[in-house]
Amino acid sequence: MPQDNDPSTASPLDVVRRYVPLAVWAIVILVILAIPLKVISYGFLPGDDALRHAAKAVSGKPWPEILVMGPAFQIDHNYGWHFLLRQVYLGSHCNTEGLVLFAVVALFALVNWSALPWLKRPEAWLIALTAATLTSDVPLRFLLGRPFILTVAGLLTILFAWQVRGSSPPKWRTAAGMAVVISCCTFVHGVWYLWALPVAAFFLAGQFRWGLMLLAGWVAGSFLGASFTGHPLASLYQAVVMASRAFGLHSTQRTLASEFQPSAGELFGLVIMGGLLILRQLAGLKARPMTANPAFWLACMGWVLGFKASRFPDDWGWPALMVLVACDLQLLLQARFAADSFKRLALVCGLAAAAFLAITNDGGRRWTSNLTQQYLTTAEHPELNGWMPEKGGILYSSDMTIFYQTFFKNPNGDWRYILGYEPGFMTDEDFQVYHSILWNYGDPKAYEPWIKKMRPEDRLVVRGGAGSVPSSRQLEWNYGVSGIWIGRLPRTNAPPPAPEPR
Amino acid sequence: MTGDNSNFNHLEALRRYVPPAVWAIVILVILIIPLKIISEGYLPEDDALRHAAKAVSGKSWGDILVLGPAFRDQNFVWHFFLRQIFLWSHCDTDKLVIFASAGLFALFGWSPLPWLKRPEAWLITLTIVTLTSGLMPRLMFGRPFLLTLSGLVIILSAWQFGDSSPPRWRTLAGVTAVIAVCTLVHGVWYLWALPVAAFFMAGQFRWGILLAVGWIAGSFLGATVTGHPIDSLCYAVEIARRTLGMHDIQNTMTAELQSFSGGVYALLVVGALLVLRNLGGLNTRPWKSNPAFWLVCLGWLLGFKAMRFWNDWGWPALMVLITCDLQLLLEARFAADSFKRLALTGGLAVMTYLAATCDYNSRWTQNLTWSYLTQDNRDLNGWLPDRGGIFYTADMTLFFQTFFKNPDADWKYIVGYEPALMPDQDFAVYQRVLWNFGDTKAYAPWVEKMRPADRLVIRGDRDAPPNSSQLEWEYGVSGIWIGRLPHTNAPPPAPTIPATATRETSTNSVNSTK
Repeated sequence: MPQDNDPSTASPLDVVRRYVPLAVWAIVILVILAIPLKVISYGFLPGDDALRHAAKAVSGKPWPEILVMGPAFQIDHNYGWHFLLRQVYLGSHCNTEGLVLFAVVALFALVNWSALPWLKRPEAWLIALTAATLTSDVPLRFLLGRPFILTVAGLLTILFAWQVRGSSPPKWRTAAGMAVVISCCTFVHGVWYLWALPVAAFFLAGQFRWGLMLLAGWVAGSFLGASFTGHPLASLYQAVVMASRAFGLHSTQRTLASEFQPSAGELFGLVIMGGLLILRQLAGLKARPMTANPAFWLACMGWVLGFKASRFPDDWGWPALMVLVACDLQLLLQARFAADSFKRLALVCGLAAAAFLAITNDGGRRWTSNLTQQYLTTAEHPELNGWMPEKGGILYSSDMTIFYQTFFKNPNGDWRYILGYEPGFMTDEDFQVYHSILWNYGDPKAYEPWIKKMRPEDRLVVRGGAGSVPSSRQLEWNYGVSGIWIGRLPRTNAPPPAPEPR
Repeated sequence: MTGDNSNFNHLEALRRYVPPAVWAIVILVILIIPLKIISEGYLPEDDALRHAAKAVSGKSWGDILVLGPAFRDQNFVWHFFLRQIFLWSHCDTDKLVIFASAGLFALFGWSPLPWLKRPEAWLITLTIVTLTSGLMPRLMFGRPFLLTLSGLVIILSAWQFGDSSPPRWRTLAGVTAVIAVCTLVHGVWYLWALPVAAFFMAGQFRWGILLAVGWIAGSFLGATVTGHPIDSLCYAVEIARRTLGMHDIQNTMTAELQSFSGGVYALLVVGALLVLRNLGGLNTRPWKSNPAFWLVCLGWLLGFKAMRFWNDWGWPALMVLITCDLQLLLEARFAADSFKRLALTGGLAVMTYLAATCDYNSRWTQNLTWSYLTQDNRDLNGWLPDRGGIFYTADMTLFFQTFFKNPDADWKYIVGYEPALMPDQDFAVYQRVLWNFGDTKAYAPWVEKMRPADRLVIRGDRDAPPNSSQLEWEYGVSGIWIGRLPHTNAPPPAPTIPATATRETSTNSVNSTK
């Protein structure tokens, strides 16, 4: 054990030793909270779903009044999340931006804090977080303000619970806890079926009792969570249909949403796993064998399934790997540092600084790229009067970011979007057009079916530089805001005027 | 040994089927990988296309390319082989390419298996290669160099996994036969000097001498089949000299002949192997007496001159090294008839299959949106070269794709599969075009000597027609402009499809390969 526990080396500072563990906990908890606060202080806004969740909560409208939906859509699979945000909105009367910032900070803190109750050395989690930040974009995904982060928090809770209590058979209250966790995740995130992965991981690890318990918790929790929506079976079915359409409608992976495309193999994940094995050997850690650890098997499954879709390693594999890393590092730290050691305190300060700087640094403008983003909204750009869709109109676009950003800035806009957060919900006819546009790398000719059915109140929105006017002559074009062209049917019988780029 | 002597005695009888099941899984997954990839619609992007087109056309290269004085078909036998398949099956160029891709991938994938006791180790190696190198797409290129890679893996595996006794005469016969076939099909006989050197550097003198003899005999034997043994061997050296020596800078060379950036991931793999040897307590030969290790070193060093040294010689040798160590590890951890071994192999097969076939970065489907210049495209009537004309371009992919789709066309290409084959004057123009990053002015010497039957073809966006006013231009298919001499004395018209027009011809339908 470390020398600084030796009474013979006692110093006047020893009286403060008992505060070291408390200080460590305070530092870890605070740095986890400080990270998202620092990131949003840059002006960061996530680029995707968090925007539409906030706008949905503010609008109070159902999805069919926001999007042009095909028959596949039956029920909102993020019902619980929208309900929660709606209550926050009604309670605080904040705007969409306030809701998004709330989601970013709260979910980042939640997912990281969820690991802490199970650790004796919480600084191990800071190391795991920093290692994951350096080798993947997973901790950055924790700042996206989306409900999947709650599922990751639930997963961490269950995996850590096993790490701490796995040596004894699970009790019924453990199953009840699992059911509660999974029901919350199902209610908020909706993707209940992917809990099959951790269930399988427990069985692969030979943890049959825990596996059975998790299986029971999964079944009960999924049904319970779905019941809160008021349509338990329809809700569960809808989630599967959505997954099936999200993947099955695309003939190549290139046209899938980027997070559904395959990963290149998460090489750094393997490096970390190899590093852990070496650490175990060299440091002589008395850890459970990897093959008996469900987190190991979940990391393996997530890694392999990453070749189908990168969300498997991002949402399941990496969190499991972080659990493995944190547990092994905790053993190492326990062997090297006394709990009330000042060296430990110094180490934690250093780790906190490292984690804070590693995540909050703005390398590649990852936290500030949105600051130059311009939005289609007449509130900020009065010159767009007449160029936004009119009442009952449709905003045609093949770019999902146009939907996210425009809906975010116009939650009460009285038009609908042809493309929303999931192309699989479009009508089959519109999906074909959308797919054809992506297939042809945005070739304007592929937009023609949409242009042909456009009405005067509709608009076609295309991204492009000021110098590259969309070549469709059936529409008149306005360079709405920087990087965005808006097309509408000509208002007179005269030939459309030449566009005037600003 | 392992402790998986389970209590399920009724399963004991099935244990003997574990080894054949493992073999079946490994053999099948190596076959299924290329089949899955080609089912996505994949086509290689370079030489495989021209090999197939050459086989279908039945013409000599002199009838296909505008050639300089130094020319001989290095892949004579490969073309002969594909030609026989074409004559027998009457398939089209697509099918020939698919056959070559799948066949050569499977051949390479199977090549070390006869030497392995634990073939599942090779699956792990294939996955590592997929993750850490760009080799997997190269293994699907359907080109004859894959035969040389297979030959190399066979010889290294024979040394690595064979008994430690001195080589016998039948080994020499085998090595000679392998090198003869590789020389006959691929032609690049001189690079076998690298493995010969590696054996000597490893102190494996008997094997080194045997390989040297086999190399000389095999090369001569292979070249003899062409009917011109000495000429054939000399020509291979001459074309290599021209290929590397005619360029002032690497930027104008074919991408695979340019230098690599160091293959850092491979160094990581080597480091991991060292750690594995130490921590796993593997009882292996030291690397310094292993020819595969020295070949890895040679390939890595020479990769700074041309990345093909690394890709074609270094990586296959590293694959053998990896497999050797992993096999030892697996033997130490799993009994041959263990069900755990079977489960592991199943998992490894799934992993290898998904890693190899996943369409990351559209690597297997990017060709689906290619547009080809074809004679049966009515929009191109009058815009493809006339009979006896010359297809001028500085983009080799235009040769590969156009020849692939028009194997029987009666025009010739100014640049084919190797710029060093061009007449010196045309090579100078070609190099100037690349040197100037495609500047239209650099094409002037070709434009000046163009005849009415000739065409100049340049890649470019619809909105950016080439600015050579001596030619009239047509936006042929998506991303390709075709220029020809004006048919009248009047000034050439504006681009046939104005940049503001709707793109009638530029959009491919989904799943179209045209």
